[in-house]
Amino acid sequence: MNCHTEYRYCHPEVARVVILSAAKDLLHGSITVVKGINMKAKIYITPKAGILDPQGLTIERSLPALGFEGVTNVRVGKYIELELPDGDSAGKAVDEMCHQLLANPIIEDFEFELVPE
Amino acid sequence: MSASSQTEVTPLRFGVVVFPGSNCDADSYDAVRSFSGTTARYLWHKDTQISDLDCVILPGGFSYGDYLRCGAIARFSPIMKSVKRFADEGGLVIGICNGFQILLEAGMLPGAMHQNEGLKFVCKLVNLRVENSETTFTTSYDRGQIIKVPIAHHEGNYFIDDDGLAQLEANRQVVVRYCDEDGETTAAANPNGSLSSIAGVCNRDGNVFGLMPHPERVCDEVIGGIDGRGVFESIIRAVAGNGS
Repeated sequence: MNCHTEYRYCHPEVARVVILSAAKDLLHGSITVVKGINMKAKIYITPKAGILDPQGLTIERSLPALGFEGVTNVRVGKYIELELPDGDSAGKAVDEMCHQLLANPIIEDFEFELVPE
Repeated sequence: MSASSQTEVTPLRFGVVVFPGSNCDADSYDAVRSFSGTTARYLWHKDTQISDLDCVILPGGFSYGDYLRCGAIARFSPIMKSVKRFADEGGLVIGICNGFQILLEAGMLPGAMHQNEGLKFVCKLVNLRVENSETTFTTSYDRGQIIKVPIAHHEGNYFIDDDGLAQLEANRQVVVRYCDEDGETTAAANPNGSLSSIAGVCNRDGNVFGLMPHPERVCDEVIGGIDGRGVFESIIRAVAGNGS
């Protein structure tokens, strides 16, 4: 192996290719770029209730310094948008993506909405 | 892992996985090569042939840029399917730092990581207490022994739910804990907020081990210590023992 020496960091394109191939695996190859109606999935990922959220806690502690008193339960999560072909299985596909890749169900909850693109 | 037909000294075969973004692969390679009777080779993330190996090391670094979550994408790389199969068949797998995160994301070890409690990347020498000295990876240590090993991570805040923790304890899967110089697991000695001061765990079968600290960085006095050598010594002893 000598190729490893070329990679001291990961180019985003390398990660993109792996994510795409993982997504294809999850969807059993049903991802195809089609000219048709695409849906946009808006995915919200948040730390599970009761799980320590160091970022949320830090923000919560800093708000009073700006004069915002009484703010509680700050939770910091992720928002992911993606587009996929419309169809009966779109919701199921996004749910699977969240379970298997986009969220870590051990520490994160997720919800999503599908809107026409 | 049958080695019953071996007679004389067969070198112990380590494999060090290299993902795009790994950066502790050479340290791990050098550490295991510093023991006599070992061979090591790098495994590229696209490799799949690893069944000839005795032990696979998932090294530290930032695999796939740590995009999404640390280890989340590495888990889907071609080699991880082989590593999983290798472990299912009883092969030894050790994940260090990012390698530990990958094992968690892959479901090969229980629990999950989130950001350090202090939100900062922490890079320093810490004290570890060996909780279980009977695992394949720790027989060179005494139970309760305190070792000094460096950490260097941003997401090492180990989490597992109550049931999971109870199972870890019941099966003695907590292998090392963060502690102070006297071996006490105080909050001050916990560098990242890990639940129950957990620094490393093994799977139930005891052949997969993950830890945030870097034993491979303390395998030579010249670079600051030898407290990590016991991990690799234990592996070598275990494999040699199996073969006889």
